[in-house]
Amino acid sequence: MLDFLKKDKIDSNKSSYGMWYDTWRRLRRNRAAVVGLIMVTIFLLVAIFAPLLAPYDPAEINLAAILQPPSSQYWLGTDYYGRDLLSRIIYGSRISISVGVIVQLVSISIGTLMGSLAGYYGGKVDMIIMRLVDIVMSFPSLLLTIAIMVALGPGLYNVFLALGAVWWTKTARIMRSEFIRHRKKEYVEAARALGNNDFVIMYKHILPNCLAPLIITFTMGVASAIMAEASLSFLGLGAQEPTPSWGSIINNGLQYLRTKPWYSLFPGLAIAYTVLGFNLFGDGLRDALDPKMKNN
Amino acid sequence: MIQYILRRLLLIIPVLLGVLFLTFVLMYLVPGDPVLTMLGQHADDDIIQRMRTELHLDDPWYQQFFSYLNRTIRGDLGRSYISHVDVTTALKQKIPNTFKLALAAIIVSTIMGIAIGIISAVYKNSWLDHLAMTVALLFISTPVFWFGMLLIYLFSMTLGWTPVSGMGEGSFNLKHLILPALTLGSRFAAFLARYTRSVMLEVISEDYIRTARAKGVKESLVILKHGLRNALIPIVTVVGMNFASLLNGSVLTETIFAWPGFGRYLVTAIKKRDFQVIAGCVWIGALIFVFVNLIVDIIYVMLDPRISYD
Repeated sequence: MLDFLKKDKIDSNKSSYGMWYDTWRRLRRNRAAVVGLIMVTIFLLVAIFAPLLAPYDPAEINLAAILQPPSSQYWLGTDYYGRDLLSRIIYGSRISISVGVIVQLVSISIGTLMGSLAGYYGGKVDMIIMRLVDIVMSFPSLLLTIAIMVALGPGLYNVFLALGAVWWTKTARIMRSEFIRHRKKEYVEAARALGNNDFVIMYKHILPNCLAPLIITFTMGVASAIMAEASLSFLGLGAQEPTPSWGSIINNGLQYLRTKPWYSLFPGLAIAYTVLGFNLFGDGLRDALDPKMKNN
Repeated sequence: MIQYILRRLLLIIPVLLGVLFLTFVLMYLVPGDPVLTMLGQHADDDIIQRMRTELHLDDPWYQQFFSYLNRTIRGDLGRSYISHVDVTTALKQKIPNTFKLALAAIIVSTIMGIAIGIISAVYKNSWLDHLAMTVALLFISTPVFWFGMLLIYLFSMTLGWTPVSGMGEGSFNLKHLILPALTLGSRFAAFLARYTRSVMLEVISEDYIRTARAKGVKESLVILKHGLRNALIPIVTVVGMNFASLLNGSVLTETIFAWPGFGRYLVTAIKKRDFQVIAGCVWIGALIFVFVNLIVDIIYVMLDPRISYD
């Protein structure tokens, strides 16, 4: 009898990590996704070990070495304050990853809350929330972000708020449809019959079943957030001097494009590399988490 | 059909009111005094007060909102705080330029995107397909403004083939248009190539394609006449939906190329903190976005009888 129980336990354990194990197996077989994962890992390592990797202090002004071309001393050249561009790009990775992750945390939290309320309760709650979603989605996203940034003032923290406030609608729509799909399921009925309140049912029972779309939204969203922050900083609305944001380095380099093209070249390559890594990995993760969505 | 269009139009009204309210709230929250922006820090107190009363800035917020609503509905977007030029008049001049750029971008990117997508689907999993899809993903991951700078450096500054910036003389100047259109359309072309590939792959696995091949129809005819025609509806929808989104890209592209359109007007206003212009641009941007998407929806319903409009 004990043997029987033991076997049962092993089997149930196996199924509890089955989805993640299967996902990892499928992901490993996808060459593009593995390349993406390696690219993202390198980017994260650069961000973590920035102080060890950067040859100079990214904010150190050196008026004797203004606008130096790439050389053995300054591998990627220097900017108009004589600051080492390689060091600034290395430290810029920290800005990018913090924007990517925090913007996604903000927008996914708001989106999940709104989407779950709309999907679970339906009726008037759903109507009000979805009209709000419609209003936010009626703006071209960059335009609304710009308007919010103008109202809040430029700066990195406001970028988190502005992008979070614009992007939650996508998650809200996804979570709403997930909650509508789940709310009538037997396990939800069972949880309700056991006397659980709505909060427990929504966030302890339904939410864990909606993790796959959330993870996909998060990974793809990190790439979009990095791109959006670069665009805002390029327009002068994002991170301010002396914060080494990739977008603002490109913006500063624009006026030297004819004579010093390398100024803007390298930060642009850094953005393209990072966003490409997250896109490759996100594509692969989506296919691995939800094979039915493949090619759509 | 007419009923469907009317209902969609009615549904838009509350959304547009919400958009106006949000725009108003954002501009209301802007720190600093607009009168000081207009008159400068050293203006006389009496004049400042008179100006505040004239602009109703001392009224309660809801009264300000209703007067803003009233003015905006009549098409009056106010005057620029700095140049004192009427915002509506300025936008009437700028928007056709942006429209011209967006149209050129959508034409270039649609042709490129669909062509690359079809080739990728036909030669599925070949080196050509892998190369095309990798390049497409690379373009999706490249910032529009940076790509524009690369094009300027290469074609204008190094090779001298195209002008660096501006729109040139006359209503249609290809030399001036080509680089901004390529820049604005690059990401969309890449996205469309990926999308066309996946739609085409789905279509060419259908039974009627196999039937056409079995009948001995030429392969190029199978792909273009039987395949592409059926793939076109979702592709056309995506093209339409993205036409409105090009407003986002136009802000960045016009900044790089000094293109005298809507986006550049907005960015210049941001730099000068000219809030009346910013509010006007945001509202008009949302209005164009909503109506272009509505038109696309209606065309979609007209094109595909399977979609019911109930």
